[in-house]
Amino acid sequence: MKVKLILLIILIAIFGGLFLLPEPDEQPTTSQNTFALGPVNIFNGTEVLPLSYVIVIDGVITGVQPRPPGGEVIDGNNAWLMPGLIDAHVHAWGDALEQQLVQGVTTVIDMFGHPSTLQQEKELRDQFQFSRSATMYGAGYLVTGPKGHGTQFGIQVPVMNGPEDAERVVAERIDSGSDFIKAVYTSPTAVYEHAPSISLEELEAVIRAGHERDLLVVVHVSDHQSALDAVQAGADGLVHSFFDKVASDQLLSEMKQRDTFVIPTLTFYEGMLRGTSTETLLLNNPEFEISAPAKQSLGMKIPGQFPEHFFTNLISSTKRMHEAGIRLLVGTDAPNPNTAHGWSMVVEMSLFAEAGIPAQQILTAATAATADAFGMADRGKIDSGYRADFILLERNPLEDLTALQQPQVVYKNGFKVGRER
Amino acid sequence: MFAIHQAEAKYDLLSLWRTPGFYLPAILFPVVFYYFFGVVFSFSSGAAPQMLVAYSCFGVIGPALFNFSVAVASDRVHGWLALKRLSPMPLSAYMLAKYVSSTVFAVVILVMLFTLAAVVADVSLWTWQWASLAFILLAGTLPFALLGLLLGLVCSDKAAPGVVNLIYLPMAFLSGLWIPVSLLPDYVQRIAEFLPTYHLSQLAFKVIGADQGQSVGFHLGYLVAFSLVLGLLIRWRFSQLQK
Repeated sequence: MKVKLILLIILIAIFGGLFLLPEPDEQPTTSQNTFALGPVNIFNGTEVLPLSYVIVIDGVITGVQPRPPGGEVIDGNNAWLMPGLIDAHVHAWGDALEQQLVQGVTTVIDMFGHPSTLQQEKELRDQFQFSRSATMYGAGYLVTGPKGHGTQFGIQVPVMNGPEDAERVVAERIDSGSDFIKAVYTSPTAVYEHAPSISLEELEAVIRAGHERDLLVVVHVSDHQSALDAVQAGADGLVHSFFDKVASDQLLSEMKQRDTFVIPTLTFYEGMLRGTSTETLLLNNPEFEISAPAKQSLGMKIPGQFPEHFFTNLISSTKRMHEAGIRLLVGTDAPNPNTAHGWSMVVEMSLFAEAGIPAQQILTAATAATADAFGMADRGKIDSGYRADFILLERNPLEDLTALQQPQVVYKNGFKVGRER
Repeated sequence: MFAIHQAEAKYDLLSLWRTPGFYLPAILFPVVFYYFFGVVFSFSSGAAPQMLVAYSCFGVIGPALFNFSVAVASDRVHGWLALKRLSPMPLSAYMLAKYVSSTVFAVVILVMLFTLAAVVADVSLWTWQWASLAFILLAGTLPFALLGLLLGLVCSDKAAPGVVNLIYLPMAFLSGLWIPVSLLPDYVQRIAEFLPTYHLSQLAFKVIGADQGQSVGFHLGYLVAFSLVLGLLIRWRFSQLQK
């Protein structure tokens, strides 16, 4: 009898234990993505508006006006409202998209991942339901040669064999859901150690084939010569900058002429070449609740010593590109060493600032400019008809970019996400 | 009638309880394994719920496979099984006792893994998800208990642990219980579809919406068919042993 009683108690304890296990936060019900908010200072993606009220109906912004609308208005407390950030270079799997969203990144561009993730995320893109995840656009598999960069991560990547293969490769990417094509290219003259690359002819063929199917083609490069080759081959954008040389006048004028955009991914390079920004801006701040996996990738270092001028090359090139009027977009390359999903946007933006780019243009490069470059019709701006993906900040981000760290409220599809601060 | 079943189950557990050399590693192995590779050095950073499901699946299968194979092999080789079968005790009491023991182990392992996940890995799931996971994983140990039983009836007591490891570990790896199956090469995914661990884990992954998108019927059908085939093989082996 006694034994049975003990057994029963143990059973009840185990059963009851199930209710003690942590649950996710409650999901809000529908109709909570219809509201009016104000007065708030607005950076609308390109410029600052005077104190305004924003009206949102079913997750879509229907009005931005100086006078308070009738009915109930959520007090905006003169805080700062700006479009949700767009990280133009990530590799998302696991809970990356959730990590991004809590830091105010409402959309990401995945630059290489398993197409199954992209296909799942694509279905969610046009919906206006409550979501805890950032929206994802993506390249799916990248285009690379046999044993080329991208094949070393354990995912089996289909490779390209010769220029005549280009149309097949592009068609395959379209079938598996790619929003754009990302190719990996390294010039044969590159002196550093690198994986085998597709040839320049193959790159040209892929770009041509992509353009024929009305797709954007962006290219991974990491040295000056490869960048020049890719731009001349007609790439729409480069997804990394380089540090072996300062951007030459020739490269700048070729980019300007073709309006090529660049996602310099300074954070990743900075980790390799200088390695102070992440610590100063993130790791040394005890009030940030950075998860253990995020801390791990933020603290990861690529071994090796590099000459000091590599970092100045990187910053000078960025500066020169900006001065030449080249479109620069904010992308972190998370979760590579020295980066973490969501957290690294501020680091990347502060490196843009180091290159002498004014805050307003940096904020545009992290919102409207990226949406524009990748053809996202209803994202990246606060304006009528745009999706209510925005963040509310206590301080003016134009005065201090660190105001972006841990936004007060993140709105996704008009729903408040995460805890309020 | 049931008194015999109860008594046998009780003494089977008691005998295990008196061999900490068996139960400590059996319980700690999956827990330590999850902590190292699912939490600390997580292969897919930030996929905490996925890691929990995969390693729980790995954890609960262990006792079912080992408790049956090793214990049955040893009982059989030492003539204990023959003696029990000659006694008036029904064979079902012997089987049930072993299954109860392995389930108790599985429950203890799940309690530890869930606690670890909740406390250290910040996993938060709805209560129905925690509960369904526990249910699916516990119920899902049956095919593996049968596999263990068959191995116990075939292998010698010395060979059993080795043979089980040789099946258990590669099977777990190829089914994506250590590294997500989507990160493995395509041909591994094709192999995975032949493995019971894959189907059980996919059913568990469905609870958190992280499965590969095949139907519940497909996975369940596989596991039922797998169990039936094993059942037949076990019956055949028993009849062979009787001769």
